[in-house]
Amino acid sequence: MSNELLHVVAVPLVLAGIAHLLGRRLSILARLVGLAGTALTLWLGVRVWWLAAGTAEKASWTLPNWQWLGTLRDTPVLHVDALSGFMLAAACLFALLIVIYSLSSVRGKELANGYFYGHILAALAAAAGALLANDFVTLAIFWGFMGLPFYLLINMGKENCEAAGKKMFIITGASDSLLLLGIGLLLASGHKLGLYGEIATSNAAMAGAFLCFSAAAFAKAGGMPLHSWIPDVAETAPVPVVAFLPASVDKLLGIYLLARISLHSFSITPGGWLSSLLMILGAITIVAAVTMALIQHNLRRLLGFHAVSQVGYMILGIGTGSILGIAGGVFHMLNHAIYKSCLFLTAGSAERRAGTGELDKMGGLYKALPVTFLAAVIAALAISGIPPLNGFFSKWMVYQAVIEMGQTTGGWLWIVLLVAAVFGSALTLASFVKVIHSVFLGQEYKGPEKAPVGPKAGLGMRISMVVLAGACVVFGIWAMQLPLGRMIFPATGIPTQLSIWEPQLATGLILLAIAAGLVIYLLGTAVKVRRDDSYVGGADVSAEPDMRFSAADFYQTISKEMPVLRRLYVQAEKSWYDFYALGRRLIFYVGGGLRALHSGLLLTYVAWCVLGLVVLLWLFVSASK
Amino acid sequence: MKIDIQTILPLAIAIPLGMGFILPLLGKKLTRLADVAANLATASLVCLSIILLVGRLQGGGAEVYWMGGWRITAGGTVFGINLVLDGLSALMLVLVSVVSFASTLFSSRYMDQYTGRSKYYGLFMLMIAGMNGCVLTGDMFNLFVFLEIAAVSSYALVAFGCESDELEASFKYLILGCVASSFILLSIALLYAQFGALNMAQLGERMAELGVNKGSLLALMMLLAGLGVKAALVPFHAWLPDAHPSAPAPISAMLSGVLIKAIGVYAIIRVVFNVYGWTPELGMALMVLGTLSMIVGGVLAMRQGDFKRLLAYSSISQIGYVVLAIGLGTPLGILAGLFHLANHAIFKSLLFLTSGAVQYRTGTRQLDEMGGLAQKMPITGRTCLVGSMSIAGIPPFNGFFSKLLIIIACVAAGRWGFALCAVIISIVTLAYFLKVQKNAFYGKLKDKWAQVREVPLTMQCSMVLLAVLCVAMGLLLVPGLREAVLEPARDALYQGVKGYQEVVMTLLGSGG
Repeated sequence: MSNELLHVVAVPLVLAGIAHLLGRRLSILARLVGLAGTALTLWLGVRVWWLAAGTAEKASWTLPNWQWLGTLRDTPVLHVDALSGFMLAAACLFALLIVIYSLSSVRGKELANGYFYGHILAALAAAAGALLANDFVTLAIFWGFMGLPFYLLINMGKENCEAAGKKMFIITGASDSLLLLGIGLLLASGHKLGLYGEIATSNAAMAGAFLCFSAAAFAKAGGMPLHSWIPDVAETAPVPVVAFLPASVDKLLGIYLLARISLHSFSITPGGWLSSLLMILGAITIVAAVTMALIQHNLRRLLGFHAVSQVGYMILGIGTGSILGIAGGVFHMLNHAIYKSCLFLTAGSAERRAGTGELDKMGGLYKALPVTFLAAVIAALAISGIPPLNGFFSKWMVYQAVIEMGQTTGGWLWIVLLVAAVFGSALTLASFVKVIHSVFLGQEYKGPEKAPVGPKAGLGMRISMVVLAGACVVFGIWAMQLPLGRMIFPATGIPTQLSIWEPQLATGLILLAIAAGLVIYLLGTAVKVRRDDSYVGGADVSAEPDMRFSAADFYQTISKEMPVLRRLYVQAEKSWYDFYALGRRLIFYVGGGLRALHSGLLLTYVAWCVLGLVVLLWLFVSASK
Repeated sequence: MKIDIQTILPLAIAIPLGMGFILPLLGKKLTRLADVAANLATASLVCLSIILLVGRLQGGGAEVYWMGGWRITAGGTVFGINLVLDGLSALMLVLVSVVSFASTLFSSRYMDQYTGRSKYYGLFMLMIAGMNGCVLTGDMFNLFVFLEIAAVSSYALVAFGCESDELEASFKYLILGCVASSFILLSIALLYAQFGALNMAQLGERMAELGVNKGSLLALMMLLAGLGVKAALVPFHAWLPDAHPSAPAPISAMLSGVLIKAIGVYAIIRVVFNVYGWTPELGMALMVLGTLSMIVGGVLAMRQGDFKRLLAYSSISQIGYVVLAIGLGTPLGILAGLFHLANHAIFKSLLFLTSGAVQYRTGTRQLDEMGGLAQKMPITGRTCLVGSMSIAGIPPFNGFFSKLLIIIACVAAGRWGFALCAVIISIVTLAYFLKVQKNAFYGKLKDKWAQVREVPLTMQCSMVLLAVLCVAMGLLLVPGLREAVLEPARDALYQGVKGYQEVVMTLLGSGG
């Protein structure tokens, strides 16, 4: 029994309490608690990760042998293995980076207070507890609890953040209820609640339980159709919160659960109907979300749709059910957490400078924010799957897993899935060309609605962005040695059919090509072009709207000119495909009918009572002998 | 220390009943004295109920007390007024006392808005006496009497503000309550006519001997309908959404927190389990009524713009959960239902108190008119958040654990459909409580609330007390505490007619 497991959950929780007590007072001290707390938790988390390599007894924490605990005495509650270990360490690292970023990005009493850091620490504690849970009940407790600090963090955001927070909490709260339903199914079929049961999914009840747990994972990670909170939250919540939860730690938890149930809790047949269902949902998520991302005009909302789209790859990979696919899905999750939190952080930095998050009103920020620009380009290339960055490698693994599955099961499904995945990747690149152009390159917006120029990126912000962007490069080039060899393969097992891809060699060649390109560019005519503002008849017209084009305009073709897509977009805008909105409409519709029945007339009410009695009498008395 | 239950058990009714007549004598001048006396009375009831709970555990079984030591047996029939303290009664007593204490603590400042405070406390105490009597009595007719004491004082308390809508609500409540009471009284008369006994244990015994016939089923159904009105089960619920919001907030807390349970749910389950005996058909009737209430209450709560009205509909929905789970008739189901009943008493009274706190400072109950109040009323905001999270079943608050048990119990009993309904309505519950949070406490602070302050200290204390209980009550599931509190209550029901009879009959001799 190791108390480190308890500490990694309890320490951030206690520190969260301390930060709460500080409240709005002593903001310096609150930041210190946040920084020291996440750093301490990271240290504890890494130690716990090491325990995973030890004996089973070392890797668990059991309840103490106290009399009043009765049958609960000596039950193992927390357990760490290779999978949860590295995820825990990663979650702690993200928390630390986010806090470092917040130290310089978050100012003023609104955010830089004990509540903010307290909620971050509480969310981290909940994430740690959920990752280390040894059984589904413990998992459900931490899983559900995590929604609360997250909800409170979202409520600290911009206008309309309460609506987004409410939506998020309802969907993740629903996911917790689904976990409970899954637990009920397991118990009713006489299974134990441990996470390591390897239960067969051949009968309907267990398939149902698997689907309940998967749906919970989908809601947390943002897989369709339970994704719709992510774009809303991404748009309105404070930037560090978006980078911390929906971009990294929520993905981590969701994909952890999906990988855990696929690997250890249940045994699913690769290519069976459960596996196919997951893969199809994954493929739909990839394409549908990225198509929505293409037409967005708000930077963070656009990134939010990508945060959904990328989950599709993870689900697709895990859905194959093969070791290669699961490893690829988990690796993609890790990569996604890195580059997407990096992208959100750069978005926050850009937004702070430009005073707005609307793509049409940004532009030319590369001069003011060189570090942000560089980090954004690297992360954008990584998410688009450009070799040799990390995003490429994990997508490559997912593609291979799909092909491998297709070769064993045959059929045509795998071809469709593969095409969807590759197509999605191309659209991702297309939409990030738009982002980089309209935010960092392009012309500066000088129109009438220009917001006052904000501050440049602070030191803490730059540190976090550079570390994450650096990780994109390192995890890409040394993928086999570092993330796969040290973190993922110990957890999933080593896949047999991983085709050779030599990242280091390829990197060398790519760098060579870039160098050649630069030489050609510099020798060419490019440097001789004169750049100037636009004039008409000697008057400076650069502030005229007609004189400036926004990259977003190029993408209007998709939403305006193509009839089929246009209709889909219009319906999507009306939330026809949003489970949350549909459910809400249904409830309101039923409620409207019921409300009409409650006329407020006493006679009606008395009539109901009598009618109720009559029905009871008819059912019971007349039915008896 | 051995606790002599025989001596102190009648105090559970005597203290509030006595205070109910003493307090109105204090008149208009001595309002602070009335506050203090009422709070002392409820505090002493909290102590008493805990002593009784612990004392019953020491004794191991149930305790039967005969009022005044008077009992005659004529022709094999026992006459006399008896009080039975078993696990379930003890649990209910604690709940009633705790919520009453929180409500009187809250009342001391809240009732500054009203006049006639000593009358208010008098009615309040009578209501407690009615409820305590109801959960303790072992006699059908006394059940009716205590039930009426509680109900009549609650009619008056709902109308306490004397505004037109309050009077209208009270009138509706009164009429529907009277319809219910006549059902109940008629049913008791039918039972006495057939079996010649009113003592519950003896009634159960004779019913078991003679078997179920049309006459007893008729009586049972009338009782179910009558008590269904008191418990606000759909379709007998229509008075509740008017009555509960109209009462002063501490009374709303009492009504929703304990009254509908003590004189409604408790009476139903006591009769169904310990007098008639649970049968699958009866269980199904309870489950259907419960699920109907759960869905109708939950869906309608979504559409409410009035804070207290929303809470009232939510009470219907939550009572549905309780009745559904207990209707399953399995040990786990009963445990889950009783646990949810206890939890609901705490968090719903907390929520009504927070709604009262908001109304106290802003004067409105409309959610649309509020906004951003958490900034100005941090304690109210946070305790309301705790209450909302509890009722919505977010861990680690108590509601989560009872929701978990209810869902598991439904699935384990093979009632998939009911389990699914419970899951869906729990999501709906979360949705409308987040609406409360969003509209009332978060978002932009409206200009007109710029001067709003936090409520006075005693009101804060009362809310914090309940909020702490919301967090702590999850621990009731830890085996040590479960065996002391929830399992005896569960066993009291699960032992059925025969067990109840044996417990009561073997004790018939004692105390006499």
